[in-house]
Amino acid sequence: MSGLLAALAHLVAALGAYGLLLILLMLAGSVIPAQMVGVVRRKVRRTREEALAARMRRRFGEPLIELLADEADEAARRHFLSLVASPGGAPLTRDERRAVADLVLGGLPKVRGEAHVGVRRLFVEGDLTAIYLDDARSRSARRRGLAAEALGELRLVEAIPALEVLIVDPAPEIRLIAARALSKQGVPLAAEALLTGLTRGAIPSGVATLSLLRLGAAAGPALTARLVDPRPEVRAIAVDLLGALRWRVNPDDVIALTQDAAVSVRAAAARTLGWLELDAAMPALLSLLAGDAEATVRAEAAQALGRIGDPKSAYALRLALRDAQRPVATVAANALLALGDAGLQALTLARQDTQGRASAYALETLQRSGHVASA
Amino acid sequence: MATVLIVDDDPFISGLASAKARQLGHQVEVAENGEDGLRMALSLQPDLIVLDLMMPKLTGIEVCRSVRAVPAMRATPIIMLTGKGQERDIEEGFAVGATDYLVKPFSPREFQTRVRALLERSAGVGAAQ
Repeated sequence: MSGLLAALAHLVAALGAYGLLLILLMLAGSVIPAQMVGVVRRKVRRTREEALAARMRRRFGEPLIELLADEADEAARRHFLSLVASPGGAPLTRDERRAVADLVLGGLPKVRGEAHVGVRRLFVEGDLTAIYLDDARSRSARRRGLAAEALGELRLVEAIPALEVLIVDPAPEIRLIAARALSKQGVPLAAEALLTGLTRGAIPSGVATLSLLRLGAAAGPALTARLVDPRPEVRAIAVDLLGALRWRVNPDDVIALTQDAAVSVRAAAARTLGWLELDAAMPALLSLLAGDAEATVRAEAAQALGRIGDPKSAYALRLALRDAQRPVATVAANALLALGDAGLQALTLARQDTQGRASAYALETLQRSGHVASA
Repeated sequence: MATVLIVDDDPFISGLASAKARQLGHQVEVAENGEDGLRMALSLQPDLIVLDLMMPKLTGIEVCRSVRAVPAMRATPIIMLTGKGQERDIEEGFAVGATDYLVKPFSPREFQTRVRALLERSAGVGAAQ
């Protein structure tokens, strides 16, 4: 490497500034035409694809509409499928089949009810899904991306293995499309694929969280299994989402995570115990509020106690008003308000508290909520 | 047999809506943009108009407003086709004189039911007058 650099330095010295300029111009002269060829090639391909799509629309558009307009007409369905299988005796080429599949797919988001079911049936009966399953393995990233989008729209269980591969695709944009596609599937298998993408570092945790949330209750079993995942970020997402989804998880599994070594996991566990409003979680939350070293965790515990709303937590929340960290004390004050009479009583008592800024926080909260007139 | 005018720039939607209206035995005319839609509405004076909200040249709201300005077309039933998340436009559609609306993605069967009901109601009103 150093030898090459030295040779280049000699060349520059020998040629001078004009010589260097000449070399740069020669390099540019070879790069620019190569780029132009690429642009022209893409343009030609796009034009050819559009022409093919227009041809297929002319040939298949009307039979497709006829079929969707009369859901009960089996003859229209058979007619369309026979056209796809062999129009005029000559079988469709692979590109033509893809154009037909795109045409049918284009109708899917525009209709609902029986017509929507009818479009999806066509994919299965006309074996059009196979086009996208093949494209998911294409060398072209563009094809893989389009295939991922199409498979997402189709919501077929047989598409999940292909999306599972695309979620760890070398191209990051394909991985994001695959995550979105998986989030539309509505089956537990899709959650497994998304969690695989997360654990292999293929998709950011924000994307995984949002996709799993969109997946809804179908993500519950896979998330429950990940409560004991060796990676703290996975445990945190799992416990957090189970709370957000109000999944009926075994309370003991979540309570165990309040002792986790990772702050994010303890905070998420506290949050989830609050969302699930479990009385059995009270001792664990009270212990976090009083003794956790991290302010974030104490604040989450206070908020969760407020959500559960048990008057028995009033004393502990009153003590939390003394917390040196303002966010913990403010959350505790709001949680006391959520407890009703017991909380108001605790706030009133705290006005006499001489430790920390408990008295000031209590007064501030009572004034803000209109229970004490502002000065 | 009634005349139904369908104004939508999406050939898939207008094709499907046309087919459902034809199944009811009506004559169907199609316009691909708001400008053509308005011109055809004024010249044909159809018995029912189906209007997409978002269209090139002239929006569904503008077409609806112009149609209602014609005294002979004040009672013509107009169905607005709107996308999800266009609730404000639905309000505006009713304010300028739309009779009914359908949200896309739409059910062709539901569309047909609405067309039938609106035409029957309109025929009933016409007979009473």
